[in-house]
Amino acid sequence: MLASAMLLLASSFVVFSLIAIAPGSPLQVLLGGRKVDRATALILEHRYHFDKPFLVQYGYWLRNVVHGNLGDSIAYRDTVASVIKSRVAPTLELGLYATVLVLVIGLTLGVIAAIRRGRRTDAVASFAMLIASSISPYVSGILLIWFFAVELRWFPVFSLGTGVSGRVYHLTLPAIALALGLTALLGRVTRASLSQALGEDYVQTARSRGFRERRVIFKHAFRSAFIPVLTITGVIAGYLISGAVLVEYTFGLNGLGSLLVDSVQSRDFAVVQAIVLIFTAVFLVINLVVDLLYVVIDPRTRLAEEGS
Amino acid sequence: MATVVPARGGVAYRRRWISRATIRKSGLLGGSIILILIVVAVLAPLLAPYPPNAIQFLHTLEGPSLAHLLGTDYLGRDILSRLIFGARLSLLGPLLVVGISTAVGVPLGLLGGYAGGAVDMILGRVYDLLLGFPPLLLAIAAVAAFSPGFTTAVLAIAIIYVPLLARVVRSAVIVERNKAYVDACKVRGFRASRIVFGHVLPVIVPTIVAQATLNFGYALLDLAGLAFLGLGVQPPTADWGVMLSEGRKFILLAPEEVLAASVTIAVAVVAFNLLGDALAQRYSSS
Repeated sequence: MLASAMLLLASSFVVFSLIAIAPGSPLQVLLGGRKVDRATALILEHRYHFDKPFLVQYGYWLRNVVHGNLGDSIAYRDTVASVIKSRVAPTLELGLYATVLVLVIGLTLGVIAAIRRGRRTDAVASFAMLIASSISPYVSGILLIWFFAVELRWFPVFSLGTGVSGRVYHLTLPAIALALGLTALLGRVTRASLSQALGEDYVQTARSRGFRERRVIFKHAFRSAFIPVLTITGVIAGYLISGAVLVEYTFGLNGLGSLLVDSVQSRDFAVVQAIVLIFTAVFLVINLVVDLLYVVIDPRTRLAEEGS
Repeated sequence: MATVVPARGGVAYRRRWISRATIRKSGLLGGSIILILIVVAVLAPLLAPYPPNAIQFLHTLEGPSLAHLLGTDYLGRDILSRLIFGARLSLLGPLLVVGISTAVGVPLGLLGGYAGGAVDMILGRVYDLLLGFPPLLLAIAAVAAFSPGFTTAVLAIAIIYVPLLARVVRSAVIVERNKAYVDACKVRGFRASRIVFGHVLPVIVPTIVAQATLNFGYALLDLAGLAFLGLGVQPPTADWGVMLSEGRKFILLAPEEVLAASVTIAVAVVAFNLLGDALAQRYSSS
């Protein structure tokens, strides 16, 4: 808990420091090369405390961020908070949709491949997962757009849709593009750890006690197989976030990811800082939850923590 | 290789052996593809039918023909030629990323793994910080602070690969550190630097090569992704990521460019993954 908080604080410092490392004065970085007259420059310098020492600047900035004041967007002439607020929904929906796909399909494929280990089902699934896990979301996105939206015309190319069903329908291709490689990754890890667990002695014991195969797999083997799966889930969360940036740009979705890319291109630095910080915070929180789940699933980690 | 694996019951042994052979074959396939890509990149001026930036306004967005095997882009440039010349920057970028991250990450990993204690802990915290950002996001922020381009993109991506490689090296060193040959060196009074560079490093070189090969593929994807977002190599330079970015706008009219670039990137990355997996497999068993 404390470690995650420290890590978030440290990453916020890195994000803030970029403004100092970047070539040109901090004010120029914030203005992204836009020209202002001397009086405005002085006002802005005072407002952002650029006339103070670096660590004091960071202190003011951090206090503002904690209070929800993320600064002003130069490109949109509005506060960063309100620019961001209008873009959260598509990213959240895309992320949740893709997460459901990754977890449901990835775990299912991994379990099936592990149970049918060495047979044709396993060979086909494993090969497909090997290829799919090497494919980046923007490549799969482009191929999906071309095949399903341009050639077959089953899905719309660039739009968000209205209503719940329309939204789901329009987000289907982007969510598949985002989920494809990560589903394969989760499937490969699940297959590897579950098939290893299925060879362990305690699984043989459970079988010999006459428990049904379903119970042996899900109750006995899966419990220890789940630890590597949980570890990779934390990694996958990071790829979901950076993948969402690529997918939103590929499909032209108006979410936080495409806002981030637009803001880098238009050199709207305050927005870039805010979005990177939000994404990093979400990533760290997910990893904190993963760490807590270890303790729930594996009592040994609980003992280790109490011991130390 | 496979023959020295002790047999543990016929079926299990045979199954492992088969999958090992398959992995070795797929490693060879990956290696051959990589070799072809390198030859294409080096011999680009000889192989490409047109210069990469030869604009023909009378022949824009054409489909495949005998004159242009993969068609032309929105400026009438030959897509095949741009793909061939694009191999140069698209492979040079990951090569630099892997070079920089190896030059920095390997010494750091050796230091942390062998020294242990406070040094190791501080290094570990720095890695945690760098890897605490979702992948690519730190690079995107760095591009925002500096300016988009090949150099910024390469440096920004390389920073993220340093901790990745350093951690792999560190864990390999920790395994080696407790082995008898290291004790023997200590007894003979060798200095730590001599033990680490002269005795431990040669043992873990295969691990480093395998990881660097995998990283090459991932770095290629990252750099192409940045160029695709308009944050890496800039047009009109011939580069696979730039081709994706430019071709995406014309996916409805003429999907040839974006498809050609996507498939090329996917094939290249799969090739590096196959080779990297095969190398990792080969040396983990020895």
